[in-house]
Amino acid sequence: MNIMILFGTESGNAELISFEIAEAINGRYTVFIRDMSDVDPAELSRDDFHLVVCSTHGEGELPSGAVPFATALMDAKPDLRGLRYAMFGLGDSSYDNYSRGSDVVDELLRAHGAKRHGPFGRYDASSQDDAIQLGKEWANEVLKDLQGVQTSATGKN
Amino acid sequence: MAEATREDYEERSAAVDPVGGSLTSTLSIVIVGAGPAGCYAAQALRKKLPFAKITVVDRLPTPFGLLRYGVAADHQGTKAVQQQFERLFHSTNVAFIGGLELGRDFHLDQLTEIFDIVVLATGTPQDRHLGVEGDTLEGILGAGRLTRALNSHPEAFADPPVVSPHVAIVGAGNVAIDLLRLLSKGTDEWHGSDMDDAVLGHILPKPVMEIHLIARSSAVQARWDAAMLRELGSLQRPEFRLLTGDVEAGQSLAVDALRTLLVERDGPTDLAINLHMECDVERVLGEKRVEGLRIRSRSGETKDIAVGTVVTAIGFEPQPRSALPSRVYLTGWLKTGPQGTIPLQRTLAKQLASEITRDLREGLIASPRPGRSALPSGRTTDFAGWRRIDRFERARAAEKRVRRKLADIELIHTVAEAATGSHLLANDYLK
Repeated sequence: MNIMILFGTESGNAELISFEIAEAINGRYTVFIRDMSDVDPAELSRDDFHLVVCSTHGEGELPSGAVPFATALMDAKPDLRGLRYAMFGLGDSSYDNYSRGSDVVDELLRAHGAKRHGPFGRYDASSQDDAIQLGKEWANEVLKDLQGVQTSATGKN
Repeated sequence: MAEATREDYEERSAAVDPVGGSLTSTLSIVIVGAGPAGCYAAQALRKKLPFAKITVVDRLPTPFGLLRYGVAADHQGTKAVQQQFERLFHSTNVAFIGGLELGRDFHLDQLTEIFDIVVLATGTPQDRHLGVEGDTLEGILGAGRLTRALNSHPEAFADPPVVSPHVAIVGAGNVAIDLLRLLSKGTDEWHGSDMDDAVLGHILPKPVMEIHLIARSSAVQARWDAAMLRELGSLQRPEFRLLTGDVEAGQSLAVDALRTLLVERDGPTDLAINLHMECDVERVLGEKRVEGLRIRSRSGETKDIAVGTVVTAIGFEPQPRSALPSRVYLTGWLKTGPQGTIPLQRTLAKQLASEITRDLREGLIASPRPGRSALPSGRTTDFAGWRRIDRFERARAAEKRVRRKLADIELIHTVAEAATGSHLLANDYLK
């Protein structure tokens, strides 16, 4: 199983976190990174596990880097059944629509049949947290859960 | 090692070097200006042309321009994009050189001789003038100049402006709101910022007692963000009053945010913030120094208000544009004019990188040039020097502050040049 990290960003912070996650898990997995603005959701592989890192822009809007991806989901309505992903959102809790960008992408992916695994990670810009640290911890947790699922599935077979 | 693994999945993940390694491995690029526009340009170009040698120069010895000297001291989150650029300068093929100024240390035609590609990202730092009678009186302060002074900019440090307890801020954008907030903060409202109390003490020898915000636009038309207004609601000192203009509920998020500010305080207030919406500045009053402002409302009524300082936050002067030689590109505000956010610079940078890649493919940029090594020598800094400055500034941060900037340009160079064992120096300047 390969890991495909997809980032949706406005200022590049989600991209930076994605690269740091890649560095943290590289070696354990074969890791790919793609900017969501260059990705057609219909072409995502069922063989990969996707780590989606998405920020929020303005008053709860999608970051511009995630807009083409979301638009493609809404317009082309691809069948994403069998597609697996986990979600990490960036936001600022001093806004009403905290981390809404990631929620929108999450809702769209699920609406088209994709399945979210593991915890929904979030980074709050008005906290004192370290976004990179949180992102790495989230990825580790997601991948640990995933291995558990795979192992137990294998055990049943 | 980390670097090797990073490039490893970068190569797997992206179409690397679309114009062929033979050309781009000798390609030399210089970016003039290490602010957000220049840094994002370097980032985007490195992605498209990973083998090109990219040099980012700045007239100041420190990188990051507006992130360091424009973004407010209490908006550290906005400065977070700096982390991307820290990693960029850490990577192979990208270098920072501080202390070299276009027009002083080199000219554009020299740069085009030395480098294959020249990107200008020097921005538009000049404050726009009011353009009314009296607008050159002493006590008129451009928002850019005041912001740089509050941020310990070396040039502002040499001649710090002083703000009177009675201030007018002219403008209806986020810059005006930034300054209104910074001037209104009490001494214990700076936790987690990099505000230097000594610098603040120079600029505000006495606390501000009254701020008049004068905006030509209506509350609905104003260009400020609702979030910026909401943030004002957490300030301890001020009481906000709307003197002219309307704020009807539900007109916009920003208007609603403004409405919530307009509540009377329970106790007495020592800072009144008077909002004059839909008012023009007719003239600045005073003989030699600012003594007041004459403003005119939409109904034609004029009013004189007594202030000792006028801060103009009405934008920046666009740079005059002349024809560009070939192989020279613009980005940032120098290209778009003085508007657009920091994240927008990332989008501009991607466009720029595509444009340059296309020109390379078309063979418009061919002959190899000497690059970085042919730049004039002088007292310059590099990225290792910046890391020393950064560590030094963090180490001497006051309690509940994240940093205390060095503002003296000589000292900045000294710290940048101090190799190992600089603890003696550090001790001299700590506190």
